[in-house]
Amino acid sequence: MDRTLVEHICECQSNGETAALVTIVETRGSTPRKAGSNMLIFPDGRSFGTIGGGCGEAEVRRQALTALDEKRSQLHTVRMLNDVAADEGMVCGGIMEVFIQIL
Amino acid sequence: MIFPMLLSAIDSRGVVDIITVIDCTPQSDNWVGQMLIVYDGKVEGQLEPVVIDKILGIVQTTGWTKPVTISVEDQQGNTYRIFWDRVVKKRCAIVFGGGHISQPLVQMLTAIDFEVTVIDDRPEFANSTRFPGAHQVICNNFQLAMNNLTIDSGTAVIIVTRGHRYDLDCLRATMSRNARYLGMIGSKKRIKEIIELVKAEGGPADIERQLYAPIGLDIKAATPAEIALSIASEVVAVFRGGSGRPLSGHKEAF
Repeated sequence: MDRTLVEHICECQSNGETAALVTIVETRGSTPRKAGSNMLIFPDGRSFGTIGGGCGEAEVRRQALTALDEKRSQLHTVRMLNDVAADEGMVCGGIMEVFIQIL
Repeated sequence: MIFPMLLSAIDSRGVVDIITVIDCTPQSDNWVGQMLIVYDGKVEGQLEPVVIDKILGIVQTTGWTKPVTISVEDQQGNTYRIFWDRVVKKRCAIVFGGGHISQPLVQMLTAIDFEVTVIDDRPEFANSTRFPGAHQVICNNFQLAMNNLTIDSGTAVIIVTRGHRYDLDCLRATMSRNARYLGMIGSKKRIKEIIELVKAEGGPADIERQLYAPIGLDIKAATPAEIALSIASEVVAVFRGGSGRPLSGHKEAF
């Protein structure tokens, strides 16, 4: 986690905004970004930072929006292994586990 | 609120450990998402005391190299899966000399997230319009400027002044200060002379190993910007522990 992100979170919290902090907590195989990468996702769809882009990130974004609705922090696993992933351009071939933390 | 505390801990301490509970068995939503921050032996945040003690034990006895997940059990047999991250102060670079190589070099170092300080004693070279990304641009005599600078294991020192006389002064002043990276420009012949001179003056015996000179990776850099690229690449390799070789494994690729 870097200082800029923490600063951004503080700013959001002082404005009374809710957000989901997404953190890659573990990766296996080849993934675009590694454990420790963070991204903030807001209920209106805005975001800050990236966990690697592409379909993997889009999937996590959808999951984060659901988590924000449910107000429940949760783990989520993104698989970039199968043919669908390759067809969709997620060609890294790894698995990443992300933690979606409701702030 | 944990994040404002985290922010002030980062600003005052430099190294802060962040612990987040990411899972709990048997399932309990109460703890999932709870955070602890650990700095200076202090702990902020709330978890069961037994779990906090166990986590502290791990944080204090394990060397942290990268973000990891670990499991901790309490007395009731609940298992907590936690994510251990760390915020470290930004890497710093001190560039001695504000000339043609420094300009692209400072841009590159800024782009890869270094906090860069540039020093030159000539006002026309040491000014912030020339170095828009730099954290600070100091216009002063090299030795005087150095007195107020911190050099530690998170600092790269790059000596690229306009003359060997100045390079030597900068080297003398920085060589015993435990910089993570210490590089100096110059031809092989000139570097050899400087090293001999420094040793004769009673400088560190292992100065050759400590000092990256001639500076940079061998990419046959020819222009100031290419030389800057070669220096920046070497700095990254040293900080990250890279070999500097082509990933393809080609031995004689060039």
